[in-house]
Amino acid sequence: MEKLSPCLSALTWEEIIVKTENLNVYYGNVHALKNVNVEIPKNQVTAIMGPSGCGKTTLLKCFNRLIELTNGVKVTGKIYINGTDIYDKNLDVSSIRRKVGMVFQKPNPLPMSIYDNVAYGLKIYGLKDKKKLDMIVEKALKTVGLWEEVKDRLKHSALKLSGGQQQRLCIARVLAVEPEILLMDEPTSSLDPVSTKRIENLILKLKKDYTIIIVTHNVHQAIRVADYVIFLYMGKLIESGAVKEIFQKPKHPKTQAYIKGEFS
Amino acid sequence: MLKPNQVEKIMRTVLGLTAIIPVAIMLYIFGYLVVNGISAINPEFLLGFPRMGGIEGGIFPAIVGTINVVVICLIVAIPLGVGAAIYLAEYAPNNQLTKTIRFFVECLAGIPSIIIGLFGYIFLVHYLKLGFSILAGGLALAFMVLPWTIRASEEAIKAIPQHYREASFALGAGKWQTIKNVVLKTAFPGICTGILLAFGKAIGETAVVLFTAGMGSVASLPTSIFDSARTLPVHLYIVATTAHTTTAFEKAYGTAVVLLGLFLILTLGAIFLRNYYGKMLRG
Repeated sequence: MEKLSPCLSALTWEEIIVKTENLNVYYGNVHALKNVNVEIPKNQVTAIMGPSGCGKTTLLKCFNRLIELTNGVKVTGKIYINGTDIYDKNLDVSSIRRKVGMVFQKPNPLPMSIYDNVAYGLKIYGLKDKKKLDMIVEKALKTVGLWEEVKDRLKHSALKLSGGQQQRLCIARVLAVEPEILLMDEPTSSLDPVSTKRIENLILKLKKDYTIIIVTHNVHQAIRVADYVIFLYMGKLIESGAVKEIFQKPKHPKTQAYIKGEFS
Repeated sequence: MLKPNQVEKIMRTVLGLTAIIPVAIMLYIFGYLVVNGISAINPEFLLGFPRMGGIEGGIFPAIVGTINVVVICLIVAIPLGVGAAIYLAEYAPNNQLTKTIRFFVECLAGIPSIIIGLFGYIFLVHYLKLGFSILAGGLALAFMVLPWTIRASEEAIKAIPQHYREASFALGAGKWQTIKNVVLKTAFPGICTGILLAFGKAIGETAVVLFTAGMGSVASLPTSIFDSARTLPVHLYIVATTAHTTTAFEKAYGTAVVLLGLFLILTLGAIFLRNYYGKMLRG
């Protein structure tokens, strides 16, 4: 942990869970992230904000190395999670993704039953004990407030659920494998206001047990759920800090303009 | 000069007519065969042995021969085809080698069946000393349907939306775990559709089996995969080319109706699976 040097004035080393060092991402010839240095506090909600195409999702996908699924991508620099460089060649990528769960922009339940969706991660890790599985599935579904709605049809296809239910199911699926960090890529962008509200309340409830990093292009959502904000523009980190600082007295003119809604 | 909207009308009519032609051809073939061959079909025809070179009696040995040869073909072609499809769709990097593999698959699909038959005759029947046999016929047929199996399976695998794979990877699953638990499970009906269509091609193939499975015995059933066997299309060819009487032609048409019936069942099965598949993916 000696290498870590907090640049967010308010944070001490113990409070940081994720830190990037000179992170660069290239898609072929496109330089998508440029020397990004950010620190993300533990058990808080950090919002990554910025206009479309600024690299929000790219940054998020670096934290669980899902970025590697993209053809022709190149990542340089370092990302430390709890002091470990996750881009270390000797590290098993599955173990990182187990610790860093992800919820996607469009709800993506697998084409199998509700139960099997939640149990998927556990089965992948080799858990076969039916009783234990039942227990974890129930607990995860209860946490996301879906249990009462689906307990009588756990064997039904998850694809039959509504969009909001599917998204909560996807969150339950991630929680079942007990990650430390939860990545959320605009998790409410395809949902109606009522479902959005439920997900936002869930985020607030989950932050006491998890570190949440959420990509959003909705300024109001960031104000409602986030404690910290990272503002990106054209692949560069413009500003980061506590949500109040950023929204009340943004230092950079680009941040000011974005918050005022001058571009999106 | 014609006005633009008149041109529109004429082209619409002309193009519509070209679309009707395949329907008309299919209905004509089917109708003609059924009208002429249906009277030949009875239990004795389906379960009896041919007499006098097939112009009398039944087609039972040819039905058994067809099933034997096609089963060998599928046992070989399914694992090889699906395996290659998984490699091409999920693992193969986008490079020159992959393009070359694809090129060869396309070429194999385009080789005239008589040449595959000739290859089977030289390589399987003579060089490997399998003789005219169910095994040689099945293997040669497998070479023929392999590219179709690969192509259909690869398409079914590629049709699985990327976000399913992402969901699985994001939960820490490895590549093979994702393929086994998500991709293949979801693509299964699509792969089956492709296999049924390959199956349809295999049962109708004549040149390849004539060269490799031979003409078989019409007096007894094959007892092992090293026996020669006659398939339905080969039987049809022999009867139709040697027949000179009305009853003989009736037997040939009857055989054709049985062959076409099998083919239709397989095609309808494939269509049913494809619809089921689409519905499942839409949720």
